[in-house]
Amino acid sequence: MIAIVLGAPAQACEICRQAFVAAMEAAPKASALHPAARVVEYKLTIAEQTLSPAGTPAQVLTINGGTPGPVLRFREGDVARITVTNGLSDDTTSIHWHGLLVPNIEDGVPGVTTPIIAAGKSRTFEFLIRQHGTYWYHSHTGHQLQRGVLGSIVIEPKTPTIRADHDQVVVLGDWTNEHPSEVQRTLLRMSDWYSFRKGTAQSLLGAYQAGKLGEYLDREKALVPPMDLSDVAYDAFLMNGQRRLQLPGKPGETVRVRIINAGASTYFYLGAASGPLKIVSADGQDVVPFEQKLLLMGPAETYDLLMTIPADGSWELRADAQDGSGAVSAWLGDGSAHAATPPPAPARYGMSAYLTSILDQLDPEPGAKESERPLSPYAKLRSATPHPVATSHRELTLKLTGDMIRYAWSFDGLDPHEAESIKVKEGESLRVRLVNNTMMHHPIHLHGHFFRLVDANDKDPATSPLKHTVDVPPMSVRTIEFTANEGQGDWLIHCHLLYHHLTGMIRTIRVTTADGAEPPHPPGKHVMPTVYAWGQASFTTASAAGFATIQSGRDNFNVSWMEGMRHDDGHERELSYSRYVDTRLSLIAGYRFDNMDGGRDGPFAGASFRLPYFIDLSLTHQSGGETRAMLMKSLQLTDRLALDLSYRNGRQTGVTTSADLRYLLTKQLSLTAGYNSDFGAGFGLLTRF
Amino acid sequence: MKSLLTTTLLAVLACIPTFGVETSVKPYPLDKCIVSDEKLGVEGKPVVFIHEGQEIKLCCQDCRKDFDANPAKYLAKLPKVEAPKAEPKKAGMDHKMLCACCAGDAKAADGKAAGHDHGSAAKQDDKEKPKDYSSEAKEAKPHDHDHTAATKPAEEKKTDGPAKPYPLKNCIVSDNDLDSMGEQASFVYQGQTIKVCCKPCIAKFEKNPAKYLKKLEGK
Repeated sequence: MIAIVLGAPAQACEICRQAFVAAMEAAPKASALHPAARVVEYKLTIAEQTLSPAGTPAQVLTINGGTPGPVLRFREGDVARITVTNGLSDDTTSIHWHGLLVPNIEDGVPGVTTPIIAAGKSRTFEFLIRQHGTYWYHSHTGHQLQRGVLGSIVIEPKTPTIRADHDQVVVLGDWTNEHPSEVQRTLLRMSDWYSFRKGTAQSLLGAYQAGKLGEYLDREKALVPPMDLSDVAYDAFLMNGQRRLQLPGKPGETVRVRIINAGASTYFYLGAASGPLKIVSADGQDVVPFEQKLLLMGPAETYDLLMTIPADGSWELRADAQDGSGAVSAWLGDGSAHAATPPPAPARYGMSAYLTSILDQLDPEPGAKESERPLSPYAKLRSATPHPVATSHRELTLKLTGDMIRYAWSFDGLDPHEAESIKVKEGESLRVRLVNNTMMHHPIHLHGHFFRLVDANDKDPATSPLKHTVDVPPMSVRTIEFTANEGQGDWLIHCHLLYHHLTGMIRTIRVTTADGAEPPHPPGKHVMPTVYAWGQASFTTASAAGFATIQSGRDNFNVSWMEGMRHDDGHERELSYSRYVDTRLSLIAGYRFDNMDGGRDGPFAGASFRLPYFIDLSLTHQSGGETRAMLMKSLQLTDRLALDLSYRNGRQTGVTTSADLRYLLTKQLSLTAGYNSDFGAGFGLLTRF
Repeated sequence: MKSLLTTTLLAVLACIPTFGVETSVKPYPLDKCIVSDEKLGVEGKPVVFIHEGQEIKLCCQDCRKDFDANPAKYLAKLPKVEAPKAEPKKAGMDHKMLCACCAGDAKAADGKAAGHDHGSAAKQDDKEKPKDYSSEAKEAKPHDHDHTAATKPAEEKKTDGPAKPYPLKNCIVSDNDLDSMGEQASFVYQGQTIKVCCKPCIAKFEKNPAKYLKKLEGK
């Protein structure tokens, strides 16, 4: 009964939403609305194939047989007609036209703006090309962007604005041989495997050797997780799907290099052996040309460079992952190689120095030189031509929030399903302060609109840069402003780090009519709760212990066990449900089976608190009067070696203490040795599954 | 058993109020030794300690002797920024509540009590070199806790009445949430309470206070 009562309105809303989408689909398309326009057609087929992006065979999602897919070329004023066919056997798909001004129904976000393309089905997109520049397209379904469903878009202006002898697209990418679903599971289980693989793991010994032990402890005390520039350890970084690229051209010729960062979660530093980069366009918009030695590109951003091929030799255009974990290069010209200077390696420790560098760059002293590891060059970006500026605006603050330990990312600390959409009236201008309260960069992308990047003083706003994606560095604020003049409907704003987007850093902006009326249905759900499961078990000469959990959103269903190896040893097993409240609190309830001294079977409930220094405190009360307090702390001694400490005090079961060393062998396996006051000392293996 | 459990819980609860501890140590603003003017790091790891609420960095132990012989001479080299002063007491925000030996100790609060070493609390103050600070703490006087500067009226410029409360909800430098870095820092500048989100923002503020104070105009 309850399900029916609760389900009926939701079902009605879904029917209402589908009717709304069907009406939008039936409305006249661009070719009918603009009969005089040239229609440029493309057909894209998405399929799964075996390719070797990182040198070893892997299952890749391709578009027309490759990744990236074909370059879609248009001229301003064309009508684009693109048929996308889903050649996958058992998955839906979608294509989002990143940076293009398209009708809401063509934006390509499944479940929010555009119908899902089911396996074996096709959908034809049609829209008028109203802009020029460098853009791209990619799947907005699950992890398909990471698996290869992406490509580039080049739109020529009606009147050429920039002249070059050659026009070359360079799509930057990151590739992992792991299935990205497994990558996300690894991140959710707070594995330190990727940071270990990349050499960015932090430890007490490392901090001491770096002279940063005090800062390390301060950070732990303040519950600030170790700073990391990226989450995933990749197997290869790519340019146009290759690990080395040769660009066309002869000595003296100019090449317009259209760089697209299509990495799923990688910031790149771009630099050239031939000298500073000459930047002429950003996010498809012409800018007043300027030079930059090292260009930081956030995921989903595009920049156009003008490069002249030197008289002799082969010159490197190099893209380094921001975290220093790898690089990929393109070469211009023939002859002896001239390598570009890579950026200095990021400091593994020294969070204060890093934050100071960010503060200094966001608020530079007069005459300050380009940093050795600069932020995005937004201070140098000026629009090549003035654009209209809103005379009034409404202000909104959107906080970029996250819990790195749980790997839960969000806006304003809210699960996207719990958050209301942001309402904007058609024609209204909204100024959004993006406040980054996390220790990571976040590239924030607004669908279907360009926004004006508002600097501190907002001098000459008519030439402030127009962008579709903006990097918000750690502990900083960026302000953007846009006018809701691209049609009513639901538009997304989200972090373009794929794993942040998919774990919740996403919000819907609902553009209503000018008088505030909105459709009767709620915004569609894009990020559906995804269920992940993991666990670990240790087997030592003294005991067997472990846990397993199934996680969906804020909810976990857990099982844990601990038993001694000796005949007269007891056991303790728990089945429980826990609810994540915030970074410092979780609630738990379950049933305990305990035949240890003083223990008994029975239901229990309580809470877990995260205390300073990342000490976990669990307080539970069990039927029969057993009240327990348990303190747990994990100390990362070296990159591979960790020490887990616990202290438990039960009213009836007394004190139990344990200390266990873990030595990391592989992602799944560790050696372990330790002591438990109930079971004694032992050694063995710990496996993660 | 019951007493053990109670002790554990009390110990844990005693830790909880340390969220939001307010620090008042002024960070060292120079990149060179205040005695020799040598660039820090050239002679190895700098010698770091707190002198009367001011973090000091020297290039070597020899300079330490010179500094101790005449601190005033070298402190004059620091940029002229007024020493941080005590913020008005607020319920739940009084720093002394965190420190059992100081709580209720009126003499210590007045800066008249003999110095004493706070051990781990002192180590928290010196972000760079806890060991150096521990040894320095034994010599410091009259009171070497991190609210030393804030409780030494003799070293402060007098202002008329209590400090003005901080009117913003975010960091005056970065504009970020004050608690986004776990611990916000608070100090008084020319009679105005200032709050920042992290230590680097203190240094940024001290480079150009007027620039950031503009954000308070009209508030």
